[in-house]
Amino acid sequence: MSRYLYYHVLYVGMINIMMFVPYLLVRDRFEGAISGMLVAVGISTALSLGIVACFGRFPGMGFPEINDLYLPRWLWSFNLLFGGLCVWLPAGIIVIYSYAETSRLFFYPDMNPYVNLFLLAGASVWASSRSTRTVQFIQEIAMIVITPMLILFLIKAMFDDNMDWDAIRYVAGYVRKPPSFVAIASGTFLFSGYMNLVISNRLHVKRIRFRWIIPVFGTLFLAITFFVPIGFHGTQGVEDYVYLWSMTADSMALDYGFINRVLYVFLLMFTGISLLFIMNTWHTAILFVRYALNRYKGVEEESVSGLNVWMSAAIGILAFVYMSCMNPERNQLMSQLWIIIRFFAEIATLFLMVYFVRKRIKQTEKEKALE
Amino acid sequence: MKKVAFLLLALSCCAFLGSCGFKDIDKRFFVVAMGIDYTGKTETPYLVTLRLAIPATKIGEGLAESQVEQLEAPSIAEAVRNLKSHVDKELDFGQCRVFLFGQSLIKHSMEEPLSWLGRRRDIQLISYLATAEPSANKVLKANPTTERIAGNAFFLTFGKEGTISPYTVTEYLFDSFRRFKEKGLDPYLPTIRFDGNSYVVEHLALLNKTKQQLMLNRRETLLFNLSANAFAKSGIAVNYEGKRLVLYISKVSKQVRITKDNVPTVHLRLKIQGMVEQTAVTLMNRNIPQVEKLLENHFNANTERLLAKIRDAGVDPYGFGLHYLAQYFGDEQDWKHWREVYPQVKFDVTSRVVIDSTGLIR
Repeated sequence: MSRYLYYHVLYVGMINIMMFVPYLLVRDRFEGAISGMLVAVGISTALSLGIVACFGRFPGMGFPEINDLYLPRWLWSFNLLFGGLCVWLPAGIIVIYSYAETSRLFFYPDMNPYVNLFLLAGASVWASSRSTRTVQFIQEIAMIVITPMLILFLIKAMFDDNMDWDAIRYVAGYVRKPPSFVAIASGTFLFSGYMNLVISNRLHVKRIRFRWIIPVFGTLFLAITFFVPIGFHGTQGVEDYVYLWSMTADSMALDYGFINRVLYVFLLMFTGISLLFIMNTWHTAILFVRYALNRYKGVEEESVSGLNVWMSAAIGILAFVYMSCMNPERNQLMSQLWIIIRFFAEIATLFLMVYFVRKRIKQTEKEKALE
Repeated sequence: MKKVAFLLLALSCCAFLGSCGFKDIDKRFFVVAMGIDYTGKTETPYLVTLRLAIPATKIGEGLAESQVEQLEAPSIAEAVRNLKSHVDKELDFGQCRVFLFGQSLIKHSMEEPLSWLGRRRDIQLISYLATAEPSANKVLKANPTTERIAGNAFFLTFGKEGTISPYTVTEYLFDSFRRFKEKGLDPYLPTIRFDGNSYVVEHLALLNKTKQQLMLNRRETLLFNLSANAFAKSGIAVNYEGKRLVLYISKVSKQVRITKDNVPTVHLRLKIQGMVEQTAVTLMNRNIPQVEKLLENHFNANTERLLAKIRDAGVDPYGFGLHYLAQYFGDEQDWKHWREVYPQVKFDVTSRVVIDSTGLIR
């Protein structure tokens, strides 16, 4: 069932738009964004293939159980609480805020922002409190619904007549600048879908095939997310936009379609993608905390545990609190901070996993020797 | 008990709905076109004209009704806000797809209107921009006789759904934002006027980063659209054996190469395919190469003259500067060099005209 992993890769590759990755990359376009992106492709390929391979050594086990096997309780509890509360949880909260603001701005600006957030948070709280198996199925259904819009949108974006290839080529020439760190960190985020293995590996008992999809999709999305806005808004105008990709989607028109503005297709598609991302990140955060509390590691539950519901409700309330103390600029800063923390957390995960695999190999050798 | 509590909670959510401030469609006035003129007065320099659609039950030629509101104010935003007190419904810019700038405005400065357009979030980036002759106010007050839906004549004129004219250069708002900022690429705006029963778009205004520098006439506009945008469905004409010969162009492809000499030469190569639409002379196969050669020379000379004229006006709507930077992966230094030598840049236009057919007769 390798495809369940690639759904993650697909929507995380798209969600970078809500994490302001295009903005961060475009800001550095003359100061090392291109070389940074190239470095990011290299790092991410190594990270993703390495981590997927390590998880392959522990079929049917999630990150919490693997930690539990080889680390003392205080350390693995710390790992899980840090991972859940400082990496996975804020990811969903930043995205729910960004998307609520973006859609309100373009659908109906005079609306009370909390109403919009309430609708999104309601859906996410419900979805993220389900069992892992249900979350996986919700994801497949949502991906199938989104895909036609996604393909339409990507084709529209890549082959539009109004793209200025000279601008793209001119910016690409700045590859000679030394890479910028923020560009590297934000570039690696596009490949991060595989990180969902920390929980969903519990469902993967067979070997995961077609692993080349991760670097290929990541590179493709990275190129699109950076170059298409430059093609539409030029090398200088591109830095003026706060909601860069929404404005890029608004620059495309479907002349003979039933909707004239591609922006609406884009926002509709991102409703799905954002909800998917929020559901998955919050679900992972909940399960991390739950394992730290009572070592729960099931993937299916007859009726959803109260713990899940209360925790996700608390996260939903946290999203409201976040909205009340944030404005778009601060949110942008938070997302940048989060992207950097996540970058180091991913590297730490790789080292931890390699350590666990080595332990495991030694253990099996020992067992063989005893026999 | 639990169910009742849940129900109450769900119902209490409805309390939110009152605050979302949604206005029904019959409580809104849809702005379909907006015009901005420069009055030249120090106190109220901007004249804003809005064309508002009136929802009608009958749809038919000439039945489209609209209301025009206008106001002078120190700034565009203030004018729009003030205009709200002139109408009984909420102004909605969500359907506004045409922005007209008066001749006086683009000769003054485009800075203020562009900053207003850029900051408003309900303005579509795929709106059409144009300059209006003699003023945006006059053009918006005119009523085309065949309009079915208010403002629709504008959309059909500028867009590709309705008429496709080689004299109409479509300019989108996002493209203007790009051109007003970009290195080595300058903005242009088509010019619209009203001739008594319909709109006429056949001239092109070329701007530098703030205001108009040059106005192309009808013939030059066609040539520009052909050579800059590779616009097919166009035509070129030449005198052949004393009679007028017109070629309908069905396919154009364009290629630009710029040499890296001290003073660069721009090589513009075009391939033009088409068929003869009108000539009084019988064209046999042996004449065709001769006609092609004639068309090529004629076209090359005209285009080179046009390019030189545009260069002498100090603008670069073709984007040669950007292409130069892109071709050599240039940096700041190259850009500085280009700006210095642009007034002396040489142009070399080579075209290949291929006559596919001579129409239904020889």
